Amino acid sequence: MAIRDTLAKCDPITKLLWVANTSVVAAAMRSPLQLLFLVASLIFCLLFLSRANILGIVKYWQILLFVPTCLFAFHLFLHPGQELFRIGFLAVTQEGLTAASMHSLKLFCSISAVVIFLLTTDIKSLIVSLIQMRVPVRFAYSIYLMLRFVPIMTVEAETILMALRTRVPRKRSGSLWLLLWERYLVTLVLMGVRRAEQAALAMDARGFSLGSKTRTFLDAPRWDRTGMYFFTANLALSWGIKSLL
Amino acid sequence: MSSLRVTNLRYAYLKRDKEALRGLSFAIDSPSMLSIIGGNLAGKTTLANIIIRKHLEQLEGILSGTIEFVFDPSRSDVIGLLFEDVHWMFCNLHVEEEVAFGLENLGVAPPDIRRRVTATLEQTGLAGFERRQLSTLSGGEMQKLAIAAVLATEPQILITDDLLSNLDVVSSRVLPELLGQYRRHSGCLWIDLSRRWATHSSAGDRVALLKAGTLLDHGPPAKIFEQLGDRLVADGDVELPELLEMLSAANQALALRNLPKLPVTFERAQLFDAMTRRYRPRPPSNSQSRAPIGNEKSSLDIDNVSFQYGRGSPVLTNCSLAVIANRINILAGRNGSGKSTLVKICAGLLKPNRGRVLWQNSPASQRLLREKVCLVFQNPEYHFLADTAFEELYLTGRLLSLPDTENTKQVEWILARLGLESRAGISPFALTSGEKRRLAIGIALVRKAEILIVDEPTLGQDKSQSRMLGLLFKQLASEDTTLILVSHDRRFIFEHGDVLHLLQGGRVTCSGAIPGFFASSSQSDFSGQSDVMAFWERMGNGNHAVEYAPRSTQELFQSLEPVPDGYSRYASQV
Repeated sequence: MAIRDTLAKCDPITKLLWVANTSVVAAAMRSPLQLLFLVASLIFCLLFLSRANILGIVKYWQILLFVPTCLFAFHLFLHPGQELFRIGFLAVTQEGLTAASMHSLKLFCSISAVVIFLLTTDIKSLIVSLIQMRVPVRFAYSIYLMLRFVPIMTVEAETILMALRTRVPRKRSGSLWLLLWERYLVTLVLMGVRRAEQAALAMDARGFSLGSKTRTFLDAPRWDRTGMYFFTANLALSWGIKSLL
Repeated sequence: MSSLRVTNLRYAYLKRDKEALRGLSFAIDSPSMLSIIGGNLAGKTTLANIIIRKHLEQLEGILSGTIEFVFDPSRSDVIGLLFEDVHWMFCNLHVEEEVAFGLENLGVAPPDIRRRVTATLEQTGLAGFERRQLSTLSGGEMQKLAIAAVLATEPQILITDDLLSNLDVVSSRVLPELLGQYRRHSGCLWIDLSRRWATHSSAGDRVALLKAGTLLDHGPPAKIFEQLGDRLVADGDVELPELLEMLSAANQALALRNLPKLPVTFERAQLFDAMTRRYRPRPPSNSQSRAPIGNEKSSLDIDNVSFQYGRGSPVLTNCSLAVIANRINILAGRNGSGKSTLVKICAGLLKPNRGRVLWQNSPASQRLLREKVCLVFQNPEYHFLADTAFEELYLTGRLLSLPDTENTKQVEWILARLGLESRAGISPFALTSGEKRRLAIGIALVRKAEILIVDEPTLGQDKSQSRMLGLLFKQLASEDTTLILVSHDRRFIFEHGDVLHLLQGGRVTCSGAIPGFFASSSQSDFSGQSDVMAFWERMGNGNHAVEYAPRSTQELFQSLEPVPDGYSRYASQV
């Protein structure tokens, strides 16, 4: 097994535990240095333990950077203390800078772990793992369908918008445009509901209503030692960083 | 051994006064096939839904009468349902997962699932599609996937609702054959609901005719056609194969001259033999010729365009197309050949990765194209924004700043032109699929764009409605509108199209005037063989000019005259 297949080979539940552990450790850390080491370990995972495409990560840049940056800006000016410099009427303090770095890095670590999880995990195998752990099939599939409906509804929304553009080639003024958008949203919701109803009937017709007792899986993810090694190593590393630095 | 018995079934949807089904009774045992044929509002989709919902115990609405199922206890009691609109029946991301889903639910062992998935994908022509995302499939490929997903579960009862609606000519032949083989091999019973009397309907055990929720008659196909064939041709709400239309027209002409009728046959060779003994060509008349397509100017040119969605595989590669102005341009090709993508580029809704789009020989921006071109999508529901059909059209006029009186007048005219006057007050989403498509065309008519593109105009239309749309398009072309119609409907293309552009593997491989395109020498995988054309060729073109060819059964019989049996042995003389 190539080392870059490590994350792909880990079973989804172990990876989910790893995400949870990373978030807990990040929240428990008390210095920016510790957090920087944690960020470094995440980058290592991403670059050397997975085959995730860098361009794939760029897709998530808004989630990765936007919220931590907002949090950084919010804390930077919020904390009273020794003033370092001023931006207009806002004072940046030593305490503010530390708190801003801490909070934004903590959030960045958690989001990064989730992004790595999404980039290296097939959602279907996560759902199958949940079902194997006795989560009811209907509940697990609800999550799956919800996730599956996001890209479908995105395509639907784009297509309805295209249909709108071909109907109204030029921009319209205020109230008409508002009316169009209101109608557009109604159509989108209506189509979503109809899709969900029909999909439910189609699923039941193919035996989904039979329940989980006899259900099998074509590609059931199997528990693998790789996952355990990866999780144990990360657990030791993250709590080591927390205790030693 | 499985069976289905429906006795005096009556059904009404909640909050609707009218019954959708009125006292249906029929019974079918495996391994029989029953084709239930009916036009719009006949109740086909309702019947399919009720049967499946009754089986799943999910019935809503007011039902009386009984539906009884008997299943072979040694097998899973699965009913396979193929929806009219297959886009709504999927619940997974990838092709392989979708086919495996039913088997997983039934608790089939994983190695068996793998074997059955592979076999079914091969049978349905989807081998190699295992990891393809559903969102990248064309309409026809989705239809094939739906068939694969249903067949993989090995249902004891199979119900198909308008099976052929989205398939190209080759798939329309291959996939019903596949379902037929499955029926014979597995011993399941098959109920095929359709608006057309397809080739596989004739090959089935029984045909039933459904009209306004009532079964007119049912029995062996030959008997039903003998009894009701002429009525079906006259009513026009059921689409008949060219061969049966020819048989009906031939017998009507013979009856007018008190000559004995031809026997009912579903075999082309037999009918052609009988017809060549009883008909001979009339001398050519001037009225039969049509204005030929010469070196006419193009209004829109696609110049070496390439396109791919995201980082997926290319959909169009160096594709070029000259859209002939004020003519009915037909864009045809196999499922997945890139037709829908190409028309979106023509309409300025997608930007090509490479190449140019020219409007009257000058490069056109997407904005200019959106102003000049209007596209009606394959799924008309994407166009609907209003509460009623009337408001849908009125809203478009309002957006185009039409004065109220003029707008109202125009909407009423369009509704009447499209046969939707009686449906004006109904929600667009509650219309039948054919009506929805006509309403979407109505929206485009309000826009009065210079180029009108309609993706699959005849989908969901019965024969008379298809003809009405064909005449409407001809009228628009004569009033300086250029039309691009994306269609698999060979008969519609043959009857109403002017120029055909054939798209294969992401590029237009040939363009030519219709009907020359359909001559046997240039018949392609796409077109199949037109029965009218084939018979005309058998008659040696009847000494007509080479460029003349009848485009419809009606035109064919205007060029032939009946004679007593044995008198005309025209074919052998030729």
